[in-house]
Amino acid sequence: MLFRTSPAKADFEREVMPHLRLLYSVAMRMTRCAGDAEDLVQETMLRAYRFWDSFEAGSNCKAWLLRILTNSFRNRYRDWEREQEILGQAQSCDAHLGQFQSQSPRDAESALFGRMLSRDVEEALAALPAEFRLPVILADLEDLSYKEMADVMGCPAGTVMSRLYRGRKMLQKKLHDYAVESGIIRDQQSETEPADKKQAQVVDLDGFRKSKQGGG
Amino acid sequence: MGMNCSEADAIMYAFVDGELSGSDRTAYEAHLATCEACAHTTRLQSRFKAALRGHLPRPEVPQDLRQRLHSAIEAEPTRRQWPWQAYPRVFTLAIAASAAVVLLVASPRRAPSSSVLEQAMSTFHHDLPLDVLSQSCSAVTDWFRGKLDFTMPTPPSDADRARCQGGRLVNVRDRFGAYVVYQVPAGHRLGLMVFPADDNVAFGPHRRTLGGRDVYVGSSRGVSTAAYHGPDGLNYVFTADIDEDALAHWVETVYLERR
Repeated sequence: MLFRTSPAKADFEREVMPHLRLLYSVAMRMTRCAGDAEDLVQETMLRAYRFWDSFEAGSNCKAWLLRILTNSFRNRYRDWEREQEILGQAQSCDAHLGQFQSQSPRDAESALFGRMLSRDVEEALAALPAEFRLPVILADLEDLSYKEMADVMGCPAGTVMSRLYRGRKMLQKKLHDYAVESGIIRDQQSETEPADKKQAQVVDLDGFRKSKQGGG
Repeated sequence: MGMNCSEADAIMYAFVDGELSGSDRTAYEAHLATCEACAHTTRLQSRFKAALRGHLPRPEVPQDLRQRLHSAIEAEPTRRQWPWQAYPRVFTLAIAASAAVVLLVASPRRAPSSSVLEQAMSTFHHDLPLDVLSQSCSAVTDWFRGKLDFTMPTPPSDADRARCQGGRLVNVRDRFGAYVVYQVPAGHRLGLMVFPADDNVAFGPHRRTLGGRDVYVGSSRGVSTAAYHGPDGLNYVFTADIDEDALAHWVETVYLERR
């Protein structure tokens, strides 16, 4: 008997369905639209089923499924690349690093945690370019480790860290601007921050360790 | 010497995300104890992370999606399984056992092998999801643009004998390489790994002259390999589940004689 009828459909569903809520959640926040999210999840599930042989039992099913979802998203939404071009404009957010920190602790915290509406936070996240939205979703909403994120995004952990850093800063800038516009907090310029902090660019653990070794 | 604010800022998120351990964590905490500004930022970022999740809970999965997925999977053709896929452990043991026998009988001389060939074979075996799916070889090549530190030449295609399926990035000797998957006649699959030849990569075990070029062919574990150093400074490694002669013929007629 060379071939046998695969009982794998039941096995597959047993293994994969527990991750459905995670997949749908990430798909919703990437596509920003329920219909598209459902299509993306369905495509992900079918591709996962077709590649089920290549999944090694006992390895990280969650990261494997998210990688398929991310690749499917990229293939579907070619604007992933186009969005990268827009980043030139978004980079200006680095100039606003630490705007939240410049507020008195009470102001900044109440702006974010008290009076801001979830809808505004949702919109601010949705406005981030996909490349930076994904790591924020994975780290902050889904609690993935850097290693899992590197598997999902198909890039080294250092790249994950710098995209996450940039994504969070962009998001905070958007929320800050909104909070100022709506009068939740007063706009102030950062006067009190240590000067060397504003120049911080290294966001990579290896780089940090190297600099420590090199500098003694 | 203690950590300064700039160094602390670089790893602040790693701390907030619980990714710092050992001496990195100790050093970071020691800095926070002496620097109120960084301690404040760290607290704020931790609370930001928590608040974000509080504001954005996971949406509920629509009722009918689960059922729709189940039906879609049911509608898929049942995957054919080779016995070693159905019973991987048994086969792994059997292969290990027979390999041990072969080693005992055939040692001390082993066929020359190279880690790159091993990698090409395991890439072929694992058949991981592709990063780009397209039947157009030039679209696959386009996808690689900007992702590699060399220019990937468009692989030749042939409607009958060499249909591109897609491609993905692979890591070869700490550099990115391109991996392209072809469909070849009779439903067989062929993988091509292209990567820069910056040092001597040993190929083996049998040298043949095909299309005026030295091509090294071999087979093991049901997979044939063919490899050569291209005149463009790139290495080409082919893997397929067809026999050695068929692969050599394919490489010669589809690849070498057209370039």
